[in-house]
Amino acid sequence: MLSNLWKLFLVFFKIGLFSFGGGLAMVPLFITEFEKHGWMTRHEFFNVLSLAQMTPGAIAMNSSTYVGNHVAGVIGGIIATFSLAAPSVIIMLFMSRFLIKVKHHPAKIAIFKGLNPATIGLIAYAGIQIAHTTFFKNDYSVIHWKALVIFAAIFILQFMIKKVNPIFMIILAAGAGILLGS
Amino acid sequence: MKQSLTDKQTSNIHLQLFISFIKMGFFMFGGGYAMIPLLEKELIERRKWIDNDDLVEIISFSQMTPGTIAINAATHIGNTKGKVLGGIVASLGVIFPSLLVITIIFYTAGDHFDTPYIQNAFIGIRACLVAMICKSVYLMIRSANGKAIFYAILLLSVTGLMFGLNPIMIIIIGGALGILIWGNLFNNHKKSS
Repeated sequence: MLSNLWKLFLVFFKIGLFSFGGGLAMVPLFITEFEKHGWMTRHEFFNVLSLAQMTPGAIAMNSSTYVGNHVAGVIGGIIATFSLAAPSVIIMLFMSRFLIKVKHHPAKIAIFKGLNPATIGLIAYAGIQIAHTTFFKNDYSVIHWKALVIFAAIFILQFMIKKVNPIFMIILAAGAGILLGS
Repeated sequence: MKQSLTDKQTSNIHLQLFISFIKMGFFMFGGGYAMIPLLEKELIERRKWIDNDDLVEIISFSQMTPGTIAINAATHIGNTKGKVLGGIVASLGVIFPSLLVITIIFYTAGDHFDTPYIQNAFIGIRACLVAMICKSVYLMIRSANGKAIFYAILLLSVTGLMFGLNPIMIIIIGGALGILIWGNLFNNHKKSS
């Protein structure tokens, strides 16, 4: 039991430390480690991953809680999740202090002037990817009209009502999804 | 007396950070970028802790450090507002919903979670997410108020990603272009833009 918890800590800390570029970038690392320790096959993990995407919270955190519970119960879930987050928090605390210190440095300002449009591009592309899987099947043969209608309604709503709350829109869209059926 | 007042104010900011990030954690569906509309509402509009440009800065910064974007953003915002403890409580806030919801699902539904109801609700949520990201991107572009070169880098970024370039590569190229274009490395004129 105790050795399982220790292993969970080591594996999740390592993944947290060596994965750049957000939660989905961790997936290959997860699969390799879980299969190595015999915790879960990749097919079992794909089910966990779809669950993690459909539940609130960061995808990587959700997956870690699930797998931690699967390996060593509630304590396992807590240890896996905290171990995954710990390296980010520690590194980010140092980086954040540094960023605050150089906030008005000309070189930093120049770098972030270039980073700004590059990052907006990343966000736009993330939107394109979600749109792609939400509105179409792979070969564009099937169009999900229901999703398109909800998209259009929310799109118009948020420009009409300036201060509309995103939480309200999420609940509204989820309800519309259920009501319109499949 | 004065000391106890400042103590109260700092513990207050920590509580606010914790509550704000728990709230966002509970409504964050579909990965780190999905958090952006929530961050805009909670941190820019409601708390007025940051502005649109800060938000883009935080996101590019979160991309450069290991780990999930949500945790990185929470740690950085928390640290800016409430020092090290602020960074820690903000991250705990983001983690808490995952721990709670997933643990409950694990002992109740297991991985037979995707009933037709949940799937239909999720289609709605994803469609909503696309609409919200559209608006976020629009707000960020408007706030940046950039010249032609800004749009050129933006276009380069999206095109690069479409051709399979790694997001970290995009960040590095963006930063390098920033230094080259706005770094005044090759001339000594003082330019404000």
